[in-house]
Amino acid sequence: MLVAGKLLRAVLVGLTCSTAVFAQDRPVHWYHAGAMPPGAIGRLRLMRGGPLSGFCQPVEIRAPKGARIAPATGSGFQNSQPSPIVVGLSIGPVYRFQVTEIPGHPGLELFPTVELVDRLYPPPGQRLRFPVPIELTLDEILSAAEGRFITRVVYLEDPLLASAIAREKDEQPWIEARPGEDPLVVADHLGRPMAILRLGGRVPETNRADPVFSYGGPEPIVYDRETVAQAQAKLPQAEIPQAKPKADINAGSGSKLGQ
Amino acid sequence: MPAPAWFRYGIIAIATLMLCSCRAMPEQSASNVSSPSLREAAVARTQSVHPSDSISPSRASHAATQFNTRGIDPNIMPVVYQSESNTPPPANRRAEYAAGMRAGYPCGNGGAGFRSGQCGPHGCGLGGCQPGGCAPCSLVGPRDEYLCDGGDDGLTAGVRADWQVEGLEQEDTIAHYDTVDGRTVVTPSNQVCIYAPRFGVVRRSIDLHEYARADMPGGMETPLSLAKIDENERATTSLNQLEPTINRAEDPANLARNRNQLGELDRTLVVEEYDGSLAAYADLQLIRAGTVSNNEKALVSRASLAAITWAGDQSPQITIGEKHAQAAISDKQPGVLYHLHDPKKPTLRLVKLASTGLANPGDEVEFTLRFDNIGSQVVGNVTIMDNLTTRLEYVEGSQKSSVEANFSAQPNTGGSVVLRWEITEPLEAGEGGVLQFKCKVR
Repeated sequence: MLVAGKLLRAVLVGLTCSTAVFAQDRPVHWYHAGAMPPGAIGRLRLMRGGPLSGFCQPVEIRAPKGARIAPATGSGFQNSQPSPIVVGLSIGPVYRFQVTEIPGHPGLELFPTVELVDRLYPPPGQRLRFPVPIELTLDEILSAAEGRFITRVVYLEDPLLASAIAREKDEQPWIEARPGEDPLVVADHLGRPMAILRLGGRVPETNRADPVFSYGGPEPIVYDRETVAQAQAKLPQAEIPQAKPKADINAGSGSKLGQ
Repeated sequence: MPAPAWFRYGIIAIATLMLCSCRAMPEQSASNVSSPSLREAAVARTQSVHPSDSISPSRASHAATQFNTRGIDPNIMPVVYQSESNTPPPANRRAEYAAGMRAGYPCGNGGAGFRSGQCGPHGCGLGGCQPGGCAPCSLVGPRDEYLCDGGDDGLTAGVRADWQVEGLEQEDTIAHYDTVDGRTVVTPSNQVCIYAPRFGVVRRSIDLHEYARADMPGGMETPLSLAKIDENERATTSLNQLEPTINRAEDPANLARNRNQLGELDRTLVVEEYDGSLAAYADLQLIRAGTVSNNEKALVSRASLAAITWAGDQSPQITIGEKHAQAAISDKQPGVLYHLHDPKKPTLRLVKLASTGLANPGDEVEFTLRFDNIGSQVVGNVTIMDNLTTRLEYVEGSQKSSVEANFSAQPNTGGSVVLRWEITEPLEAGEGGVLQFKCKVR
């Protein structure tokens, strides 16, 4: 009886343990909040490890056609360039940008920040072909100018959860987080958060010599427009070597190709 | 008061049964018939005749025992065999497994006979498998950046008596065919992956005024001078507290405002004609004639095309007269004997490749499927199915076939389509064909 009692306890303990889920936790940001100070989420992401530190991730920043974008350089801003621009950002720091010459709104300027929280792993030599897109829509720019604060979490869609909606390369649909919902948590549910754009809220001091305003971040790398155009215009078929001149398909199998 | 002994033993028996029941599935999945209902259906199928069953490997002529032995007879090699399965290979087939010459199916991720540890150019094709799971070893980075198609992931595909295919999930590409001895065999293709990340945005817009604090004076004192000096009266305190409104500018969530509807793409696509010829990426001896040429190894590998015969780097690659050789072992002689003819073993090889390994949303990708009867017997009712993943949109009218086939495209649950080719004529040993179609990346 004593042996049976011990055996019973062992079986019950074993059953309890066997029901445990052995799946590894997905590296999500659920312990973070989208309302955390700029830079906190990226730095915490670095602490989780991985080949992230020091990696330069190309990011394409798109503003309405005609607008100009300039990255911050410590206490000032670089020369502005027409939208879109492709910059190389690191995970962790916060990068501030200046958006000017917004079409239809002369004199309006905004200073959004971008925080990168993850990176892509494209095939070698294809980094510039697949930048992380960050879009500044005119609607949001005007909302920010009116005093609203906009947070956009850009995430990489999980292909198994993707919607069957066709879109072109430059289209970036968005969903609105419900009141009380954390956009970072929603993005974590839908895919892998890549970057956080914060728009509105602060304007620099008049002399623009405030390094705190640019969060003391490093100066981003601005990729040459021509280099980016060449990288993105490369035809995918060029990756595959030409085998032989065209030959008859049915050398070994039967009839000709046809509908 | 302790529980009676019969109760304790009962608990132990129930717990043991529960634990043991978790181990019963892999052996069952090693056969083609993945469930008892399927097996019963297969038996029932021997009583029926296929609608297009005028070809030589007729199902109706075979006894029910032919189907019953599909998962049990050790002489019949399971098409779906996992090296890490609890079921060892049949004794008389171990040499073939050891030599890596079978079109086996190493893990849920890659078909066409790729073995553990092999890596392909776009990764998924050769699916390196780890114990307990399959992680495509040559995918650079996480899987969520790739769009994969092919293979037979998840549930193993099976064919019911009414020709309905079960277990064909999205991204799966399989072929099923009938053999002269009455079996229905399912063969998956290899898996091709295209680097095509797609991004979405979650937005939150708040009004900063909801956090503004209005500091109002706590009170107001107005001394009044009265006519009589000795009747000073203190003014009453006037409080005018205003509280900030909370959430006054919070708009209700409006999900997916920017969603586009399907069917609004009116862009005319200029389709290149490959009448009687193949595009450069598929213009290989393997695709044209189904034979393996050693000098095409690198080209085949770069085009995400691989099969065990030419991609194995840990086993000898044996071809005899440009035909795929089989391996056999015997206690009468040392070593492994390679030969061309192996009765009872019709085998269909299904190879898939994509025209590119990189794509942006809106790009078109062409897929090529090459199927070959590399066995020694004729096979019939060859049906090839490709369940496209959600982000691949089939370009209407783009399919081509080098052999006579009935083509159909049916919607699937993911908003894409299932492509199906029914090859009308039986495939003699050594024969094959090419299927091509185009997809637009969503």
